[in-house]
Amino acid sequence: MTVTPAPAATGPQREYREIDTGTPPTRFARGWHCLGLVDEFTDGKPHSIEIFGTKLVVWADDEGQVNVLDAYCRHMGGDLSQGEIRDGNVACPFHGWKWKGNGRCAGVPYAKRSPKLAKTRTWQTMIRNGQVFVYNDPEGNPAPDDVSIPELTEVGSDTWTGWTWNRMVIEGSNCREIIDNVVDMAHFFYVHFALPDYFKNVFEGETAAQYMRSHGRPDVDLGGSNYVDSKLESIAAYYGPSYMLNPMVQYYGGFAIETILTNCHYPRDANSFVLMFGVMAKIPDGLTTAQAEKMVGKITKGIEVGFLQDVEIWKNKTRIENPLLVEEDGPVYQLRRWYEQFYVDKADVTDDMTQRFEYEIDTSKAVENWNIEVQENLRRKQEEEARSEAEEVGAGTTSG
Amino acid sequence: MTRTVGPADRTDAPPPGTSPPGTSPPPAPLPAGHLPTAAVRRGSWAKAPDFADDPAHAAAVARATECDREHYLRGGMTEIECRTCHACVLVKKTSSYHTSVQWNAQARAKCNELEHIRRTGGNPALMPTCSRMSASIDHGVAEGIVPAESPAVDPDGYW
Repeated sequence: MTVTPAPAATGPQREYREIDTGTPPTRFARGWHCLGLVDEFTDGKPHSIEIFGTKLVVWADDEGQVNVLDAYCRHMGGDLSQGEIRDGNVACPFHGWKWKGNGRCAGVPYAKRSPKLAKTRTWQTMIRNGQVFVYNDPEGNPAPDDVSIPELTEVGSDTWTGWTWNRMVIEGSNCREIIDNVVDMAHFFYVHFALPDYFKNVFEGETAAQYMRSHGRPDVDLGGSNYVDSKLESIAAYYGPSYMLNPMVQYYGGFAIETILTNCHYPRDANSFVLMFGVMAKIPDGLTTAQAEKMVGKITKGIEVGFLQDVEIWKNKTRIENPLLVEEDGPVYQLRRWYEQFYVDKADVTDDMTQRFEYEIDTSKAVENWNIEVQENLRRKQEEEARSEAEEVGAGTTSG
Repeated sequence: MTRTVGPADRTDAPPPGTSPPGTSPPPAPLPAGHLPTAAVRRGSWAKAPDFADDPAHAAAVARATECDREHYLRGGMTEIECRTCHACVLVKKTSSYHTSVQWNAQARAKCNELEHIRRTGGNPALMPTCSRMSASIDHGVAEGIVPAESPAVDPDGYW
């Protein structure tokens, strides 16, 4: 091929590749964002959520309807989420102004009448799968009727456990980093200690799916949750910009455990987001609900270890607009093109953001090389164990 | 194609647009005010330098990113028609398993298998592939219409 020299105007020639940090987004994604389990919000108290560059107050009224308003009181800017619930309305801690779930002022306790313009910003909410969602649209349009987030029949069924729920705040990063994981085959080995045997992505419309079959790394002991012969079958899909459902079957020898993972997040600001995840499991034959819940607790711990390692990566890594890829890396550019649809006006969503795209990775070379690494680690581990045993024996002889 | 900042993973030839080894001038000295930038940016998402103090270089980097985008999104794809519904998609294979398929609206509307899922209220993204299209791609490879592997040297210069 012909290498065209760079024009002189571009400054000194560099032999190395630069990182393009790009331009950070100036808005937050359009779509439904999960705020947590509905039970967290139905305790008769106002809850504070830092999200979308502002603060919201979330509470449930007497009918169990979950309301979300701007947290800052339109009177003098008091923080409603520090107030209390009176007659189903949220009362400001500063001057007692009361606000209804529909954003109207329900009264100023010390005044003859409330001002005409006393309406604050409301946020559309939805309860689905035992979780609370809030809708964000920078253009201010209501959420469309056809919600792509599926309703899980497993939620509330006698044969499944309830959700576990974890929450972590990530600072110095942006939620696009967790989206990138959808296509990131190789990080499963390094960060989540799994060897992917099969890996495929499909993007279409508002869904970004990841199909994976993997087995646990025999050289990493995750405290019992990662047996040597464990195998995983997983279909993870984002429905919109921030909510992933991931049904999976984990095989331990001949024993199969079916679980569903929710992996969701919301942005606090451009450089911070909240990651939440929850797990529910099908109660295995012969186990009581309590035993199954204990098992889910253990599985959750294992998943948490993986996420905490993700977090360390995200906190320290830079935004990179021009990742340098190999074929086994997965379609990072296509995924980001898909994700972009949530950051532009609805009228500006282009066909190539939403058109179907499929990418199946050949993991054979990766697995071959990783197996060599795994064997090497196991050999070193054995040697270390043998050495420390020998030392113990040695120490035993001298002291005895 | 003009490139100013190219990939650095080639050993047989210089990356596109960079000068041959040994002939490039040393990197320009860092302008005053460059060093504190990283410290300021530590708590933010973009931690690497943004070359705000060197607009020409920043523009060159941005142009190179455009080339990357073009390469990774569209490079090396071949048109293939489904033998069943005649949907025309773009496909790339880099090994017998590794396959990427880019659909467009016209092709997608023609595909009976995927359309059936949508019509019956399902989510087509949850179907990994259309078996007919997959068979047509295999056939295309057998017929030599679709290259079975990536070329030894990438026409865009990435390997």
